Amino acid sequence: MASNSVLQPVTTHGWRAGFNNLFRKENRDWWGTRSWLAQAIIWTAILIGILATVLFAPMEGDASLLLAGGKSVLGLMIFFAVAGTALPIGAIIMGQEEVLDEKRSGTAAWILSKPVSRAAFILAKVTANAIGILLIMVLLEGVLAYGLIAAVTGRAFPVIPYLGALGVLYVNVMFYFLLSLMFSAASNSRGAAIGIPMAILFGYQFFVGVAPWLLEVTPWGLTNAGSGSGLPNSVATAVALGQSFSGLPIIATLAWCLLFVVIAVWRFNRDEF
Amino acid sequence: MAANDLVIETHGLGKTYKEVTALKALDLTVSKNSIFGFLGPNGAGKTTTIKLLLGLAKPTAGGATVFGHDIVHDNVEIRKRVGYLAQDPRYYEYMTARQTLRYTAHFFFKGPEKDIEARVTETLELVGLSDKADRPIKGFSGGERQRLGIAQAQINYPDLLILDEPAASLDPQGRRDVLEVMEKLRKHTTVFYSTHILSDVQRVSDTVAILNKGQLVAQAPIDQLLAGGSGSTIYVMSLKGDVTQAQQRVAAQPWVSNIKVTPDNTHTDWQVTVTDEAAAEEQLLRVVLSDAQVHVLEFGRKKYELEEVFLGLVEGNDGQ
Repeated sequence: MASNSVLQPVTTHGWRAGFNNLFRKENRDWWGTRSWLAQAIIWTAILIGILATVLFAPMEGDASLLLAGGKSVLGLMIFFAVAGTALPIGAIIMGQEEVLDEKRSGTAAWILSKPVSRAAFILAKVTANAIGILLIMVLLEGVLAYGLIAAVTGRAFPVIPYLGALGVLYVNVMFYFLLSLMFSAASNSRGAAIGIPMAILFGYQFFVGVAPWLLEVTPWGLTNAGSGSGLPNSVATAVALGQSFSGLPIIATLAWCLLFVVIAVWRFNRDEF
Repeated sequence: MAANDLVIETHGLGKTYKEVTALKALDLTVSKNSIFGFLGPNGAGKTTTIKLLLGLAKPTAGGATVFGHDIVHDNVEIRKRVGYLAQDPRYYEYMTARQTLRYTAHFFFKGPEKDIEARVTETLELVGLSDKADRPIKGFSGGERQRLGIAQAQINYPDLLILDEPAASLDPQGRRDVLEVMEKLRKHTTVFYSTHILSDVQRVSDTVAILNKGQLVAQAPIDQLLAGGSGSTIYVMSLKGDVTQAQQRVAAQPWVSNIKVTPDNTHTDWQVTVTDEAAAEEQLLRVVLSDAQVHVLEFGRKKYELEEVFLGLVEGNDGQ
């Protein structure tokens, strides 16, 4: 039997113990398999398909459309509105699987019997999925939508504000991903991990109707036009068009995201395997 | 025993799940380079103890150290030196055995990659999985999974190997292979393993602890346990001739508490239970031989089978 002396030991301590290996594996799950391709095809079919339907539909003489700034602005609004709902649904499904499936299958117990911190287990999933969601679900689809709108309408939006708008969309998607992941780390209930984020995603009109101020502290106004805020556009559309917008919902949503991660790590630390 | 010769030390270690006590005030010591058999019936608290030692669960009473590291606050450091095979191990089904071992190895080592690959290959050979190394685990049999389990537990050449029921799901050949691997590893590592299979324990263990209903009922080197049974010392004798007077003489000794006589066609077997081992060792044979009519065919201390000891201790404990 050879000795361990020829091998360089991993020297990370504390919360980082095991993170690099876990992160590599989570990344491989995205990029080393066909997962990224499947995600790209699904979201392109849904988001770009709907956008194309709208852009290619005849709309001559539609006064409201002209007032709103033409087909290109309509396309922009449609893209952020549809992506702002469809992508969170995908993110919720992904988030609930991340920890819950590993707890149920027993692979979490196996991994945690190695020199791995529980924080690293959660953070590796958060980080790798954050990259996958950003590149495939937000950036790729955003670039395709941008190209389609420009090709069909002949109008290209300024790139930097548009990327800023995609950033707003990304914050919105991550909110739901992390909310679902938090429930999957904190409970053994798939119902809670899917149902609660879905209720928050689809219940916004009810909640905002009861308490309009919620728009300022939730992601609801980030991609939903109007949303009872009195503004004609969502924050994402306003950012893309260079209009004025309130930054508070973005800051609040980022704070929620951070809180969800903290709760997920804290709760997972208390779990027993 | 020097403190650094002890790998595991528990002090009043306990675990209660809601109102169910899984483990009561366990005091256990496991010394370096031993093969430590951890026995007990189902629900005795063996797996709970193992999970506590690894930091997979938190104790509700007492504490423990492994390699001097606290199991609650320093368990990552413990797991750096431990290999663990769970009772029902689960891996990523889409990975091959080689990928699983490579992934496991990277929790311990960052390079060089060629040496990690060499370690993976060597470990696959050790457990006899070389020919199935590149097949996805989802097609593995129970025995192959168990071998992979031992391989992933062994990949870092741990100072302590913790195996929870390593042979439970295996056929006799698989069990034999697992025991052989354990024997091979004893030169390099301490093996702490739980099992129901008493013959395996008797074959490979040097120290044994018996747990029942969450309580430790015995811990001793296996030779001592087999010699002492469940507490009393018994000498067995095979005698020829008229043993009546010899029997009266032996029974009259103050250190003899019982003589069980089993007559046979050609000889008589005695089982003499004694209360003073030293006195019995010095005098018992002399007392018998002082009777010229008696010939001693066999004399020795009774050797117990582990099953006898185990059942004696567990059933005795149940009756309390």
